[in-house]
Amino acid sequence: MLFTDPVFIRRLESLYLLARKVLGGSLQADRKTTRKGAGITFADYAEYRLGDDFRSIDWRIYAKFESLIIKLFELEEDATIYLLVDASRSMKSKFRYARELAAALGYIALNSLDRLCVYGMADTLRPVLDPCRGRGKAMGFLQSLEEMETFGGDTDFTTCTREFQARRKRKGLVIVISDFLFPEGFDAGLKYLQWHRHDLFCLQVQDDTDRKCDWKGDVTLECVETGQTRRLTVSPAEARAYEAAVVAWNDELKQCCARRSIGLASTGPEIPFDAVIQEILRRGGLVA
Amino acid sequence: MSFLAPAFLWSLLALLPLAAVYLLKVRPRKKATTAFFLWDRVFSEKRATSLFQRLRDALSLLLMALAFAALAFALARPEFTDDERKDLVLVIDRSASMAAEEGTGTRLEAAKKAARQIVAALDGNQRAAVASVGNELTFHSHLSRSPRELLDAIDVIEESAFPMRSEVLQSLGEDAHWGEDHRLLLLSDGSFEGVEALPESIEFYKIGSPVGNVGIVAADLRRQPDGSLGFFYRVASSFPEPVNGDLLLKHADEGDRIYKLIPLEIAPGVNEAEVFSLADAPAGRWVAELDLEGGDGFASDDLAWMTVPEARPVRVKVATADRFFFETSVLAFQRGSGLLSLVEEDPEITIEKGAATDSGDAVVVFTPAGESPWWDSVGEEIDVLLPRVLVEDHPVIRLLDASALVFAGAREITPPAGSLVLVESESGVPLIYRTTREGRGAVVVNLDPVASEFVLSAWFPVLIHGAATHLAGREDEPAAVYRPGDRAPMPGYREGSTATVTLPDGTTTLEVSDAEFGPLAALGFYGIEGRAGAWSMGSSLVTKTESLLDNAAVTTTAGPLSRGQSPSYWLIVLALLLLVAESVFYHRRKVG
Repeated sequence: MLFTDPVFIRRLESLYLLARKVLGGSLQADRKTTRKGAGITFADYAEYRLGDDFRSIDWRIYAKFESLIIKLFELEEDATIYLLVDASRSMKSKFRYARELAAALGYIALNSLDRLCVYGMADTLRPVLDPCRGRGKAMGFLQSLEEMETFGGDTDFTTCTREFQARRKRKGLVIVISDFLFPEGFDAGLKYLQWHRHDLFCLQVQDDTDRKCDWKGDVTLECVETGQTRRLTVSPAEARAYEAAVVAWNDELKQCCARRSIGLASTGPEIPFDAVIQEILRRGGLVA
Repeated sequence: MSFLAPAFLWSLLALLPLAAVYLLKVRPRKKATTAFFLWDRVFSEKRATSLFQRLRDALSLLLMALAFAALAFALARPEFTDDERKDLVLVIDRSASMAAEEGTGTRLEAAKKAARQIVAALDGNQRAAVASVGNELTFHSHLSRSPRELLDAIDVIEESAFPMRSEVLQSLGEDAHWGEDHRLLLLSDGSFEGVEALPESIEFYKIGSPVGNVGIVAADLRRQPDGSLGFFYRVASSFPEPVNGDLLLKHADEGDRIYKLIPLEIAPGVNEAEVFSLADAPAGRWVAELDLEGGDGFASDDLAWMTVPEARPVRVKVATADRFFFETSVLAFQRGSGLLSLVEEDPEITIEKGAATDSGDAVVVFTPAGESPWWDSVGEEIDVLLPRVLVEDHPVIRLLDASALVFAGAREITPPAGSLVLVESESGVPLIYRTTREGRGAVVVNLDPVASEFVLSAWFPVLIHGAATHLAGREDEPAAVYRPGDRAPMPGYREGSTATVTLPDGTTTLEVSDAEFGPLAALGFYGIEGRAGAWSMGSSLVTKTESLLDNAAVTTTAGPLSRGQSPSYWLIVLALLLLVAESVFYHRRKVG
């Protein structure tokens, strides 16, 4: 099914409506954020500091306690959503699924009047959709995803994040859609993005070929990304060790995200993408 | 080492393509992975086994090559003996002593086991035949290469009660048919006469080891002149030390009533013969039984079955005018041994003179004259100067000197066709002959006993006795004991008569229409129901060579023989083991 197929778009529309209902926003930017700013929804009090807006001083409190206290409101801003979609060859078996997830998130973002920017990620960063905004860009966005293909060699997440930061200075919500099976690790890349004050959300996509080893015996193992080969004899013990290594790797990702307050959702092609998005929305959106 | 089918060694050349195919076969499948670095991590901990993994393919190929080579050598049929591959005749001793228990089985079972091993070693490469020997040689298979056929032939060989007849082996060894092209292999315990003098062509393969045994090796029981029964016996022992036991003499017709218990101290070897008299002992069936302290290795020779026949005189009627000398002759045997009895009614034998018109079944005719069924014609008197005895051992004349008789009154006579002339004149005129007609028998004595004064001769009653007992079929009284393999006389036999013989098992019966029956094959009492009434005969082993089971002095003389499975068999087993080992590796490569 094409991404521009009406049936597929109707599924995306349903997700957007759910997002509206769950997140409750209706104006220029509906996405909730942890940052405080000049919105209309009360968030907290804070002591007045030089430079704060006089209009936000709560004069009633000043009358009672003679101290300048300002009201803080939730920031409703024109947020930028960056979708970093892993387009390395290791994603080949689940690339359609990853793009469906990206389509759903991007569609919601564009309909919520957020700015959306999409990159393909492998050994280097490849732009898929330049920053854009508004519902009118949705079809173009879906077309771009449709045309997106896997490329490059071994995924270098750290390099990609540096490249991304070099291209996009503006802070935003960075959603990384990947299997996170990066030989060089993911910690450095996430740390780098977070250090540049991006909000981060990791959407891990793995299928059974990543998680399990159902073949045994003498094999020539070939890396789908680099073409590197190795002759092995895989016994049940080795198969179990591999599966344990994948579990440990994923646990490491979970711990890393938890430690850095990064949102994480793990899924696979066996779960429909809209069910995944619904679950994310019900948990309160892409906020960690 | 030699090969029976060396052409198969060329198949070793197939190792080269096998190796090529093998190397192609073990090329591993290609598997793509998205987490190559994780596999690297898993296998970086297993470097210790990497050397073995590298060697494994070579080892697996080596195992395959060895298995293939083993199969090729198996097909080439290697042989490690210099045997000339002559046809082999396996002769298994099935005489009585082979039934001796030794270890867990009998000697015959041990012999059959050895024969099976020899057949297995032949592996179809050599022709062999299976025979058994006891009282005679019996072939159970033809010369065959088929192990199955040979093994089946071995299986059908069973124990027998026959003592070994060494003359059978002698004739086998001297039979030109089994010449240079054959090997005759006798598998035997060596417990038979003449084992040390077997023909050179027979290779002796010793079965079994010395077994302690005591047996009755001779026994006889007969009526004494004083009316008592004389019991003669002899025992032999193969125990190295003297053993004690009892010999029980039982009367089988009285429910095994014990008439005599004889304590024995039996020395090693054949003991002295002993004789006992039993007063007031009845005739009938008797059993002598050895009862040993601790038992022995062979049961069949612990018993001897014997019979003492009831006194049954031949009934003789004198049907001549001048009866005196004839009756006196009959009465002489009636009074003495009771062999004949003079009767007027229901005679078995009738003595006549002249034309012999009496209608008795058996007739002794003197002075033939006129017409008679017992001759075709009678002519003029002749002078007999030198009578010739033609059948010296015939029962009618064996106890007299027929050549010394005076055949006065002898006439030209033509006996019926088929008559047996025992004595004839120098001119060929029958003087004494035996003839039969329509189931009836006669002895014709071509002389006038009065004119020749033969009635005054001592030979006269002897001739009457010989003719009467012969015509009655009772010239030989049954012996007390017969051995298995012997032929026993049929009491009361007359040409054309039949008798029913009941074997010792009591159920099997045979119809016998001969003067003898046999060979006796079983131990025990045979029952005979025939023209002369009911009789019994005892069949006992009573053979010292079958009882003396110490064969320590006997040694195997057989040349080199392969036994057990052939080299080809073991090569195939090796190949299978190698293939199993390789398949373990292959399985590991295939499914880890």
